Amino acid sequence: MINSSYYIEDPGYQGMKASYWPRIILWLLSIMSLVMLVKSFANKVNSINARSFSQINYMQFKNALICFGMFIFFLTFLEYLGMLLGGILFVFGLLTFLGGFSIKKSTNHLIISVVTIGVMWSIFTFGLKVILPEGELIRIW
Amino acid sequence: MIDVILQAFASIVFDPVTLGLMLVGTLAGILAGAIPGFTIAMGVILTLPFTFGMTAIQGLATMLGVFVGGFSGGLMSCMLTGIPGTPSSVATTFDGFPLVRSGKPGLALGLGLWSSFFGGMISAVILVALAPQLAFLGLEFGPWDYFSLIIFALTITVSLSGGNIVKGLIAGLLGLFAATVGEDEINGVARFTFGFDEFKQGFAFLPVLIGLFAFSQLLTDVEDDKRAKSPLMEKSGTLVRVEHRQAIAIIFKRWINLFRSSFIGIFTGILPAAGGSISNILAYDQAKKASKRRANFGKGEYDGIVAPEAANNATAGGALIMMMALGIPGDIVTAVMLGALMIHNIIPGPTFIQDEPLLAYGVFIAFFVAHFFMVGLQAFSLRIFLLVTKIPMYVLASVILAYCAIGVFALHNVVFDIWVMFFFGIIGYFMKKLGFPLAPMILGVVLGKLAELNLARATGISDDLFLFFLRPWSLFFLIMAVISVIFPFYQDAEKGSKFSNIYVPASVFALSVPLFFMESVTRLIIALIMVGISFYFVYKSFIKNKLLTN
Repeated sequence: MINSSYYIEDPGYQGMKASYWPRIILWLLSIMSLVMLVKSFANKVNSINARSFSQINYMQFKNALICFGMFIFFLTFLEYLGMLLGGILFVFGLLTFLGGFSIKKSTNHLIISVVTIGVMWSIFTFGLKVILPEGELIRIW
Repeated sequence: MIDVILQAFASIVFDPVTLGLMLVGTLAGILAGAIPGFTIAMGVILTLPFTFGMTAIQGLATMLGVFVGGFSGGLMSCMLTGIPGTPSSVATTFDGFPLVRSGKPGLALGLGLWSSFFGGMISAVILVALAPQLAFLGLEFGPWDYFSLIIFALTITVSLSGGNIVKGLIAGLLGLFAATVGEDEINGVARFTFGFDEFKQGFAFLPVLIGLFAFSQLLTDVEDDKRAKSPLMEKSGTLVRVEHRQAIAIIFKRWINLFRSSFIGIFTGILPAAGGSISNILAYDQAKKASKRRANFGKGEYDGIVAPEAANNATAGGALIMMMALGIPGDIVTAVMLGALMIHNIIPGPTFIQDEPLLAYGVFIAFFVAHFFMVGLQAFSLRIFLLVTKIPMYVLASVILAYCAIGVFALHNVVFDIWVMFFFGIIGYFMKKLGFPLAPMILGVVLGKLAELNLARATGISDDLFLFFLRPWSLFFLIMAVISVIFPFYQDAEKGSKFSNIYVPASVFALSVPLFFMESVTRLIIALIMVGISFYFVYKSFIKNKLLTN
């Protein structure tokens, strides 16, 4: 980023250059990161609390990663599915992944996703006059 | 002046739409405050997308409803279940829950509710009286002073957000950096766009805020599988009848505690970044120290409920003072309100009250009215609260994540904003995991452009950078910034050590220096008093040390 700040265009106007402020921030950021690094080396590591990468319980991030994955899926296919259909699928998928799968649960999850996204979509579309992405799929249909 | 106040009053009280929106906002705030894992800030952030289609005053009034409601919502869960709904009601749990368990739930709720109401009313009066005066003071500020004030706002946020100060500074700088992406406002030159046209507009404030705060919070809430699947509260409490009359009578008998706690709340609110989470504990601590029934604290003492509840609602008024008078947000909630004003093309600052008197006084009136709604809605919201607590967290989180996406899209009707929210959501989540505070980053994003603009103005007028140290107000804020950076070390220092003895008098003395250079007799007198106080502290510690050595 520091390197990139040296390629910021200078239109030659009088006054503060566009690269001045970001460069101050980036240098301060570098100094602070260095301080943190030095401090982490200087602090004696408690061998009981210290954990290597292999000891970290990656399963604690499972649900967060599911959310990330579902969100990427939702955003990637938003153009095709639209906000209404995409939103319903996103909420249903997330509820199923996080809450578990059974016929009773899935029925509940489907009802929740259709009702909540339907209500929100209606409020924004009809109440707040926001044109939400319609989606190519619905357009073709 | 009076006609402006009356007009503002009419625009709120006689407009059924605004009143209706405030009513819904207050109810939403009470529920957001009552649900553990949700915060008032999150409630206000999630309200913001709905306000795009409203007028500025309607939007702000709705958000104020959420803000005020949120503070009182926290008391419901902490009293009925012993789990504080928000960090600003932690101290209420100490005596509120024992009083409920002793068989007086109605009285406990009444005390909390009416203390919140009176605390809010006191802060509203101070807000109306102080904000215009502080704004007059702000008119003296030049770009140097404003830049230094922003630096102070950031450093105090870092020092008060707890934990590692270096991590806090890194978070603040990251926020400032995020605000530099896109075309700069002074020259219109693209920065850090890496060839992407979407980056030219920069990162909009709302997606960054929702991502950093709401998105990352929701991910944290569903992290634990077992907790995510169980209802929001295992113990959801029971419906109780609030003892209004008895509670008011008890509070009136404790008026000193009420006023003291309210002033603690207002002062804490004025300080950037110090919110209700600090004021409620400070007020509780002071009430305990001043009480003759110290031994009863923790066992259902009335004063132990009055103090934190009056303080946390008063904090709201204090935070609004800074936002209204100087355009500097006192906490995350006022930062969001600042963003809401910017969406309506209104830039708060010292001239805000003069330029937009109807809107400014409208905010004051809305703050008053929201407190009445808060009292009126308590019984109804209690019923909804009991229902909401049965919903598992994963359901709520999934629905709100989708809502965040819709809300963010509504800002500019571009999908890129949702990607921005997602990106900052990931950053926020991992920053939290690694122990970086998010508040400095959020404030950095909000104040970044303002800081750069004022720095550009200052260097445009004169290239003498020493003006930052030679102008009294600028020097005052820079000294405050240094004091706030050292504050965590003072907190950690051993009591009675040389450093802890010298910190307070040296700070007071240093702050008095710029006051001597201000051309005002009052300020000169204040400076002299401050010098006197600092010498008194030095003398006191000298005597104490002498006694100890003897």
